[in-house]
Amino acid sequence: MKLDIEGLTVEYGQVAAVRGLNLTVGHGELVALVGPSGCGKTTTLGFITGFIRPKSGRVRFDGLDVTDLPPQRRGIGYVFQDYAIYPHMTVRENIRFPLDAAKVDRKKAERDVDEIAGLMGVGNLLARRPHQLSGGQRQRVALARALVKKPVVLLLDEPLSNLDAHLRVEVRAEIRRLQLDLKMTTVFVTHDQAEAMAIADRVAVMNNGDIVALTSPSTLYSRPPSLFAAQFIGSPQINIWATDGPDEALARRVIAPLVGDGGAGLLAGVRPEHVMVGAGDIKATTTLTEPLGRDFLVHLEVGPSSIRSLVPAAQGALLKTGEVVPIAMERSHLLLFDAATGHRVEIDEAGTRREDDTRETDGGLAG
Amino acid sequence: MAHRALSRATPWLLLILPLLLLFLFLLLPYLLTFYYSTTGATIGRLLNVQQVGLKNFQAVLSSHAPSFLSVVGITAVFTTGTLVGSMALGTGLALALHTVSAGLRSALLAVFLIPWVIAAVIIGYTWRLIYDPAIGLANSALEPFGVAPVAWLTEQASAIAALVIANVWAGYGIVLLVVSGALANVPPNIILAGQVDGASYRRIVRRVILPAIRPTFLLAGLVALVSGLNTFDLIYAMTRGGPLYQTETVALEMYRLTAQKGNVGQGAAVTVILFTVSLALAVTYVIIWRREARKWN
Repeated sequence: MKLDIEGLTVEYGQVAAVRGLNLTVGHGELVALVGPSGCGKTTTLGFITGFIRPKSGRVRFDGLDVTDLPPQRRGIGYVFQDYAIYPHMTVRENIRFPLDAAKVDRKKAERDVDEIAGLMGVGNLLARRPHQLSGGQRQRVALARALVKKPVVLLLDEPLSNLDAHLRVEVRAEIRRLQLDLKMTTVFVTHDQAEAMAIADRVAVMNNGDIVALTSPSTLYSRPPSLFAAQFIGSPQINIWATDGPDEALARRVIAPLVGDGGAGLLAGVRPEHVMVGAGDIKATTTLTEPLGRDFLVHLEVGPSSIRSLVPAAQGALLKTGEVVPIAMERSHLLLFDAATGHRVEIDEAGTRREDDTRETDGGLAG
Repeated sequence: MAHRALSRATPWLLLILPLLLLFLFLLLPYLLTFYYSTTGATIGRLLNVQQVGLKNFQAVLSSHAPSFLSVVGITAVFTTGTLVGSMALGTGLALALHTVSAGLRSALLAVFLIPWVIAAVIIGYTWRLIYDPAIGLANSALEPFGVAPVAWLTEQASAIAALVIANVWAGYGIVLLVVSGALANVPPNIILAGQVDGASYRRIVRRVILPAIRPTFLLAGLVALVSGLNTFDLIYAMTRGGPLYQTETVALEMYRLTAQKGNVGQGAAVTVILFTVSLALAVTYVIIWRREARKWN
């Protein structure tokens, strides 16, 4: 099923939670909505479900306008952050609840419950009550309840945030596998950029009530359309230096190969793994090294500017605080942003600036 | 050593006064009641009383005009009516208030709680006026519908119904308050989940909300039940148990025997019976509640 949101604006009193948002999710596609808290991602989910009345905007399922339908009649599967499992019902009664509400014949309902419970690996828990389940088991029960009615679209609101770290990675992969198997059109809300990148066909970065970037995880990482997206995605965070202000000297030096002297009004961005330590013509002072396991995060200074670099552990272990080392930026991974608009800019051989317009042109992608 | 002994005694020193008050005004009357129920005490003779064993209970249970059975029957009808009425009205209002915004909810809650904070005697006299056959509101309200004036409080059936209505009005507030509190604690997401799962509002109330507040719901029921059982002032103000003991409940019987007939022993016997029934109900509730709690967490 294809999901369309058009011109969604939601206001709480005087405050706009979502402003003029458009989003198309293709059949079988998984789009992750990611952004800082308060960016409007859960509000958007609430609108798709029918919990939230918008000031304006329409939502269509396969072209059919469902904006005025109550949540009961939209056929949505929804997994809540706290799972919202009915506390007084057994697992079986929980999963069967949507079928009972739809007045499905009891025998068929029981068969469907057994089938989906088996698929979700909770078949042996059907007689239990929610308080006897672990977090991961509750999560699976919530998914089973959402999927048992064969929903037209699956909405997941921070479904992994109540799980501990290793379980989160495991369940994330399970959800993705299941979603691909069922070709389920899915919207996945999270505040965790790594989670969004890992699970989604496309990632929608939200800020201040609108989508500011919408593209595939790899493009989002390597060619982020905006400064906000570049800074939100990726950990440790991207290095950004402005050609105006205290970082001017470093910024101009970094972008000189691309723009020569004409770098006014630009921001230079380099991801930490693209800052090479040990060779190059910039002299930097090591101020701190942090072992991260596979890599070392090295903090460096050039004059007033600070630099984050990610180096292999073997190399990082040898660096000493206070040591002066040569560094270089990989030119092919250098990102430029317009300081005024925040858009990424590309510069061709003739030296002409062109703004990234990924947000506008990258429409629905068939899954 | 002395210091340690003192510090160990401190809690008890602090508790002496409250414990004494508790004993004087709560425990002692109970004990006296139990004691008097086995004596021939009268209003005029409370000391040096004669031991009569269980004779008072025998007398109470075998009394005529009114028979104890009819008193128990009237009490049962009145209590059941109060219970069902205040649970339905209190829960219904609480559910309705649950759907409006928080600000409006507290304002309306305050309004709906007014009857509950008015003294029962005042409510009793007010409703007696309402039911007055000549000048009462009840008859003038029914007149446009072609209902002939009814002498509400002089026929047993209508009198008990009138008492139940008045008592529900006086008592639904506690149910409303308790159920409202419980509803506020129902995780909002399970209600939303019910909507997404395609359940109608009625199904959500029946299958999700009410089960979720079941322990509190039972507690409200117990409070309504016991308050129905013990209602004295409202009935006394409205009918005095009349006409001809036709609305006499156990609570009124207790008062009539003790204060009007001066038979403290028999009055105490009725009190003991009423106390035992109330206690049994409370214990039953606690057992049910514990079983529920175990199922949940």
